[in-house]
Amino acid sequence: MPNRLTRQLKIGRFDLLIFFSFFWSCHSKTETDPIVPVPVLKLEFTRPAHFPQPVYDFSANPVTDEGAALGRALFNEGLLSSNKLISCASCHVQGAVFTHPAHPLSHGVDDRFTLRNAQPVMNLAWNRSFMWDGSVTHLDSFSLFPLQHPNEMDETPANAVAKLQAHATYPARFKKVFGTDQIEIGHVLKALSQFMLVCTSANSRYDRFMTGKGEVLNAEELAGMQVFEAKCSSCHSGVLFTDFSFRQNGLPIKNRSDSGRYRHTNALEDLYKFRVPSLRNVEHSKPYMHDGRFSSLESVVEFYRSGMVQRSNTDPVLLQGATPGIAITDAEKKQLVAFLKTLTDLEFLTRPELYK
Amino acid sequence: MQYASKFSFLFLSATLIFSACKKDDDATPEWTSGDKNDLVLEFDNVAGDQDLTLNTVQYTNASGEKFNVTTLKYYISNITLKNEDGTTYTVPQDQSYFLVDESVNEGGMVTLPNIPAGNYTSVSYTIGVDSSRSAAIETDNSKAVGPLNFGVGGAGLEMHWPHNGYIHFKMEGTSPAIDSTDMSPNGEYYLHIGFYGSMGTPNNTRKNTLATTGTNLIKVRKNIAPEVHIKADVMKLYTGSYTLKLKENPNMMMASNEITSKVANNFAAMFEVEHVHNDAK
Repeated sequence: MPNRLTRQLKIGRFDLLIFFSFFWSCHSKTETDPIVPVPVLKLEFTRPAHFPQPVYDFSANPVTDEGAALGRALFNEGLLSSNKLISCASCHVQGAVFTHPAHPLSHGVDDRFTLRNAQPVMNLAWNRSFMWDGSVTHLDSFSLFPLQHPNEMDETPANAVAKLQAHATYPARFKKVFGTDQIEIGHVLKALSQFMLVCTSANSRYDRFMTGKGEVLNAEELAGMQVFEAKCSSCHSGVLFTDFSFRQNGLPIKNRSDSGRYRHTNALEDLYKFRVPSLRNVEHSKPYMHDGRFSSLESVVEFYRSGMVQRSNTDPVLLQGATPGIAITDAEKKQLVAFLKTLTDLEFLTRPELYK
Repeated sequence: MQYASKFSFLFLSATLIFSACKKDDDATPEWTSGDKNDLVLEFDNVAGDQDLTLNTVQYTNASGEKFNVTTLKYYISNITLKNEDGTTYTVPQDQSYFLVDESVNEGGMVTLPNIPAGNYTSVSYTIGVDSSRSAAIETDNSKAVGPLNFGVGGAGLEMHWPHNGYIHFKMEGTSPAIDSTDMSPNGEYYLHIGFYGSMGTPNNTRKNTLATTGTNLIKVRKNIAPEVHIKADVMKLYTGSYTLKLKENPNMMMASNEITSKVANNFAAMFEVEHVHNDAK
């Protein structure tokens, strides 16, 4: 018995030695070559359970982690502009819901101004059209417009591709995603789409409240929700807070050269009509309206209450009272703004994997 | 009587002088090592001889152009103080970034804690965000400390260009001298002076050293937290080594590199020490 015990003990000590030497080797290894894997933040598209089916056809451009990461690199790539200084991210900044903070209008190459306010890159998988006037109808072709516009990135697709082709790492990355290192503009556009598609925002306090995840809204926010449902949700409808329509909302005309959706359709009834934007994260996407004329939510609500100017095609839904606009009391105005702030999704605005 | 008077005057004077000297000799040192206090740099934005007022007041620049100012913000960073004993005190780098914002109450107060007691003969700082910090932030945004933070709600959100660093100096407003064109909607001007030298751009940060000698000597003591009143005159943006005309250059942001550098030379010369308060608490 004692003999066996000693033997066991010896084996035990030997085990212990092996055990410690394992640690030792691990330790020495971590100093030069970390073996502990860094958590990889995967980029993927998932439909939030309370969202409808997306409009985007994912079968033609399946989102992969590598594809979206390539898109993220391109989104932040100055090479896509003629002077190599302007990227998509120049005017679409994550902390500002991928809009251009403090810029009513944006500026591109040589500081030439855009016609309109930069819109959020958010929940685009559900958009049927893009731009303030809906002139682009497929996400995969969208990026061609800022790329080529002289007031934005002012570059030709051929030049952009040539610069990426000459880059040290892009050809290999394209090969991994699209199977060829001969870069094509179509692949550039698809990679950009993949990144934009993973920019899904569905985790605001409002979402957690509505999906029963233990979030509580206070009395003012709940009152604001009721006001919103009664007075705003005919246009800003559904879980995406837009019906994707184009409407004439009675905004006084500041710039006559911007005729709104008319520019695209040439139909008189579309004169000065603009997209009904989603209101998700609206607290952080100021300034507001197609020309960024309002810099606070209060000023937007005030406009709908007292600032509208009726035109022949102003939306009838806004003309139900004695004067154009929506009847909103001072108390309701405060409640509405409080409610709109519950649509802020801080996780979306700070997710590190959405930052280059 | 006359003599007596004169004599007593001399005697009195001598007594006073001697007693004054004696007092000096006996004085305890004004500070001991380890004494510390705050030092406040107060950046006071002015337009010529007037205090700057946002939005409502119209000023006239050296070229006769009328303008107002709706936004004025700039970074002050990497502050060092030169001691009269020849040594230099450098504010720890992570705590050495400040955003002066005219729209914020006391938005020009740069408070530097724990400054060792002593007499300081000059203040040096960078106008803007230095290249090494800007470059480091490109790969690690945790380096965007304090007012450099460009995440949601961060003070740097409106001052940061993704992959091109920070806007060191931003001034916006309107001017009737500017034609309303596509290049300048609504007669507005935008001076966003940025670039730190990446990707072939110029380095538009500027260094400033302001002497604080004579009556402006900064005296940090255990019971004295000096306030250095620095005047920043926006009129000097328009003159100096380069004459800036809003009509010709209403927009300066990421383009016109050579001109932004010339404007940077002008803003480097817009700061001067007005006075220093060394008041004991």
